[in-house]
Amino acid sequence: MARGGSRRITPAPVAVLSAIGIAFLAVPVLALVVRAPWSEIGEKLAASGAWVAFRLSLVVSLTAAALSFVLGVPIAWVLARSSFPGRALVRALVILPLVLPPVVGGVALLTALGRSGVVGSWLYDLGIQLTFTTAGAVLATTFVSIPLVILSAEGGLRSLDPRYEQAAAAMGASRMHTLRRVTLPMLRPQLAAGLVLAWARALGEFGATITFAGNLAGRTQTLPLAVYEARQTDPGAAVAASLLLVALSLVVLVAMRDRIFGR
Amino acid sequence: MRRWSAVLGCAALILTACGSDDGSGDGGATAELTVFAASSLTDAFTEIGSDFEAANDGVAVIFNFGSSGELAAQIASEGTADVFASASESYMDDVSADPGVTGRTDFAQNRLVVITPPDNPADIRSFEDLGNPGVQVVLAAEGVPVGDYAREALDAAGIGDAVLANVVSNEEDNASVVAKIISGEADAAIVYVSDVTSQVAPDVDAIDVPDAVNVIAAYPIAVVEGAQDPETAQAFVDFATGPEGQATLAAFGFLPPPSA
Amino acid sequence: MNLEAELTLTRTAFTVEVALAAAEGSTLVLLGPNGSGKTTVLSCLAGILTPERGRVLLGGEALLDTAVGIDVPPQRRPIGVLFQDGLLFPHLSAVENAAFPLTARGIAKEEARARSRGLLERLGFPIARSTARPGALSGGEAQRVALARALVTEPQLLLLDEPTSALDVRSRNDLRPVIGRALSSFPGVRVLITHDPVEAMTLGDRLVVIEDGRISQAGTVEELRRAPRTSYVAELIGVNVFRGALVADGGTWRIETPDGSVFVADPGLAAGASAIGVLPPGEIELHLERPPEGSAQNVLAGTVEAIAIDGHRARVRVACHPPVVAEVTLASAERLALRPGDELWASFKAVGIDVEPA
Repeated sequence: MARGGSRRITPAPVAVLSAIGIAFLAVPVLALVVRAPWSEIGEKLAASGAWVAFRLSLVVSLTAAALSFVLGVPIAWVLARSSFPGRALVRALVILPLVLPPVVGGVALLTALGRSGVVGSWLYDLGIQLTFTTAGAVLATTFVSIPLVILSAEGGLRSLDPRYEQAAAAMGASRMHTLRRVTLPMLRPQLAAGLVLAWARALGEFGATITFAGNLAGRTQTLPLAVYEARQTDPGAAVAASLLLVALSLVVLVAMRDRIFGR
Repeated sequence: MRRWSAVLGCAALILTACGSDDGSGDGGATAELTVFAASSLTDAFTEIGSDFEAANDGVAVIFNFGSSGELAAQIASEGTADVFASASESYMDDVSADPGVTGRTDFAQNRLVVITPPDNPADIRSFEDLGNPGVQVVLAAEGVPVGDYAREALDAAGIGDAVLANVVSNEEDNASVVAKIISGEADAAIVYVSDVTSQVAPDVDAIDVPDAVNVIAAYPIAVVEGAQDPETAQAFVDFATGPEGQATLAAFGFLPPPSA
Repeated sequence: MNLEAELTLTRTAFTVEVALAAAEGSTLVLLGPNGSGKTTVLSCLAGILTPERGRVLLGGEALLDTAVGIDVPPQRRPIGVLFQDGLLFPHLSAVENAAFPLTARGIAKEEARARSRGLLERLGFPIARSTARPGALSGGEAQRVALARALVTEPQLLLLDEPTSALDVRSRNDLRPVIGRALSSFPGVRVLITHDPVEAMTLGDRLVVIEDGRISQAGTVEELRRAPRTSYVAELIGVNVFRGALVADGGTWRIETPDGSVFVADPGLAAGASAIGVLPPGEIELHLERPPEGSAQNVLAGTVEAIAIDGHRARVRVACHPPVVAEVTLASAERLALRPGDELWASFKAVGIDVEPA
């Protein structure tokens, strides 16, 4: 921010540790680039069904991010703005998928929404099956993505000066108008950050999806699942498909960097 | 303070030295034997491993179970295996090409079986029923030996296209396939007979795959080139193919190797 | 359309308990130290806070009456508010901010913008800047937008919370006449919060001083100045105010009040402009004899009208032209052995007088 003016000196240990850390994070990605079968990457991607998986990944991750947003923001609102007995417990519960191994999330979803699950058996009687469907993949992905929207939005709501909303009310704005024209626009950076992080998480989701929705090309096989399967049959194709995933994520995160994470 | 910790350190060294002297009659230190084995062998080989340790003082067997293809890839890139036991000849072929193997032999066979949840929701009575419309079938993915064999058997029975259209998920390994049936999520699956272990048996029903179309999978085992201690590695191979190992494998549902 | 209010509510630090009344077309000023409860009172009038007990009547109609359970929500009260720190919405442009109360009431965007643009122009806001976000506005520009936002709906009750406190001296002087004109042309009741005595005196018809949640004194400027009841009031309002036309004479400047004139330092204002000179009473020295020619340009002869002792200080009212209040230490008051009726001289420097445009 303060360019020019004051001189900032990075202490040596910080410089060294950050260099090691950056290398640790960057080298594996660069290794993918180096080892990618560049000469035949097109065929590899086509043969491993990566394009089909890529399209499905886009559909699943974008839907999951939207769903996380639509459900996560109201949850954040309730957690930040209202007090009720057991609020701490509810918060822990909705953030849990973030720390839970995704496979456990998948098993939990299976127990709840599977064909013979607590709720799922009842849905199945109505003719609704979620397992092995794209909708199931979206649900599994949403399950692990929602906490990122909640955390980001709740933080934003808590740091928002309540006087702005009071001012809006005193200026004749209804609750709905205040929400749409004041609260949400003022939270835009945090909401956008939550949305992008949730999307990124959804794009990379593996464990919950394969456990709950299974692995079928074109229906539930997202790009991470395709990479996993290709690893057994054609490691080169796995690297190529991984690269596709890295490129997509990187493009979006870089594009959003300034707008979300502050300049 | 520093002096005391030095004394304690010496005491600890002496004690551990005495301990290992007492423990191994032949006076040698503990040697580790790393065995890479197909995940369908998990239960049988765990038992064979402890039997082998009991019969060979000072040897600790360390297992890495996984899908055969993945293990073959790990051996090629990392080369840390002493023994490789594969669920498919083709992955053993890969390893014998790079880095190479010695003493390769088949030690067991497995055959395919259809499993359904106990309530058999899709009313599967024969192998051919898997092709009935609306049956939700789970297979192991292509590249996983049991997945490839299952597709082979389906084609042999002439129901390949019908059943593949019924597939709802291609699982990454045998255990995941079985899990989908136990949880009741899918109607039927094709696995190895050995996958229907005593723990699993109460939760699934097994339906035979006819001999005419069944694929009998041979399990090869070999000492991997570059093994730390080729003699102990060969001893393990011999143990697995010997009477004790064979008895254990039979107990876990494996068939004897073709030559036997 | 008079305002009547009685409010009681408990805050963590103290209990606010006030009764206010203001006539249509008048400006009521709430004065008080920081944290005395001024903003709390304003929030109750605006409906943002609900007191435990209270009544707010505007033109005889109840906006709040806890006895019968009436509490009109803020968005349905006919009020305009200028909030402390402006509170302009950072994501809206200047004109969108000013138009917010109109769009909030469902008036079409185009009309709302046109109306607020006209109002902004009348308040001296540079219209070329109307698409700028608040972050890019100067303090004076931002407060003009905040003022426009308070006025744009033509409310019946105008509430201004420290409209100039966030500004530097120069922009404050620029803005004060703008606020003055806006207030005097506003037909309803005006309530202004400030802790700036000059603002209170120039803009207010009636002053209400709130200390620790209670009204310590209320009245006109003159009443408060004549008989301050607390040391806060005395310090705040007990200043000498010289109101009149600025006259330049050779190298010297003076303010001609209806009752005598005082020399001031070059105020940087045009000669002939009407101005207010403010002189803290501590700046005045008292003498029994006419003091020798010195640095004090203002030397006035008069008689002691009244003496009030407040701790170690004595406030001495001197009947001279114009009349002044001096504050001296108790020791020097005793040394001078002052009594009402005594003749004496009051002297003070021209630079001691703070001159502001009226």
